Amino acid sequence: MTSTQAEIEVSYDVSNDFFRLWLDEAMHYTSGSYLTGDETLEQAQIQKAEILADYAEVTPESFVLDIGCGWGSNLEFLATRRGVKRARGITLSTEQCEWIHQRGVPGVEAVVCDYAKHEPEEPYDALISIEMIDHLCSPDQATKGMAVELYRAYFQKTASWVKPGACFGFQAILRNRVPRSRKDLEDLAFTADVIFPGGLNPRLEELVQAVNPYWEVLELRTQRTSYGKTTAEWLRRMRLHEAAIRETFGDPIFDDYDRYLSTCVRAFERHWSSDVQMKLRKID
Amino acid sequence: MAVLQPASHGRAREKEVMDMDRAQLLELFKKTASEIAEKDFADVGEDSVIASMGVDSLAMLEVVGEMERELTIQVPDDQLVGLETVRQLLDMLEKRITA
Repeated sequence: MTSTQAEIEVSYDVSNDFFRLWLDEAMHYTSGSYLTGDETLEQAQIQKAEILADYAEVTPESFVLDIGCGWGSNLEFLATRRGVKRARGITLSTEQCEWIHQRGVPGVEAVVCDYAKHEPEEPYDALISIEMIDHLCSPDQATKGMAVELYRAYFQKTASWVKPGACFGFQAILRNRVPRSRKDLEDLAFTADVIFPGGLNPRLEELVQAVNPYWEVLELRTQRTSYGKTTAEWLRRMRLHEAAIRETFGDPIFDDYDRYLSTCVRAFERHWSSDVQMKLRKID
Repeated sequence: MAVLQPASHGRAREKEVMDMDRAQLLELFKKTASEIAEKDFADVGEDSVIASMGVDSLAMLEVVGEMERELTIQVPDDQLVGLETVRQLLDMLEKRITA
């Protein structure tokens, strides 16, 4: 990955207890899928996991890999709701990996591993990756025109891990229109530099270009408003715990995450950012 | 982002923009950049290199945003890449006006 292990730990290792205060109970730290707009965050997160498992054509017998598995919420969904007997996750975050092991869900395992170095002992039946690709290309690399090649290397590598005809349920945050005001640009730069150092959201056209010649896009749906609702709910829940967060984790943590989540809400509302889910099938 | 205006005003403004000549476009750029960067750009011409004007990339995006509002156009982000001179910027804006 382009994001180093140290950078990933800045993003995800603040404290598991901190994230528990405002994420849903299963700790999905990615966009849910609001299909009617009236769902709770918890329902939207389950719907997201359902969509991606369907895209990946997961069955109970599938050997599934979740690339960038976070706190294992999707792995746990696969094992408990889809009856998957072998669900493996890879992450660069040691805190997240330990969290997954402590949960001890049967059939779930997690490994601290850079995706580029991952070599499975046998091919997977299905892949899922939820908003991990934004750690693959830094802003500097994008400026140098390297984005599509870096994403293509990822899609080539992932295609080498699976059985013929296997499917991939893929989700990514997208960058779309660059804002035109200094404050908005500075808020976005803050998010990139302080909350997610080393990361950059891809553009949709870069992804569509990069999956070739390894994966065929069978379905594609964007869910910009779903991410807007997700981040608004995270912000609402975090503010409910403002006093406790300031006392336990310090003022900078609350202030930084308040600024970051507020920026996210505006980013999805104003089309600076979006989110995409794709069903990919390996081209054999 | 386009400013919402009454339809008649919008159409009238579009005609004014379509009738703008190159010199007016250059003046609009200089005026907008001066206001945002708080500098005097009286000597700036089409051959001026944007990077040498002392305008940082954030300010230049603000300039583009303000000109989009003034010209009632929207510039795709990919067309902002690689603009080095004022002439290239004005060429791109003209294309969007007539698109």
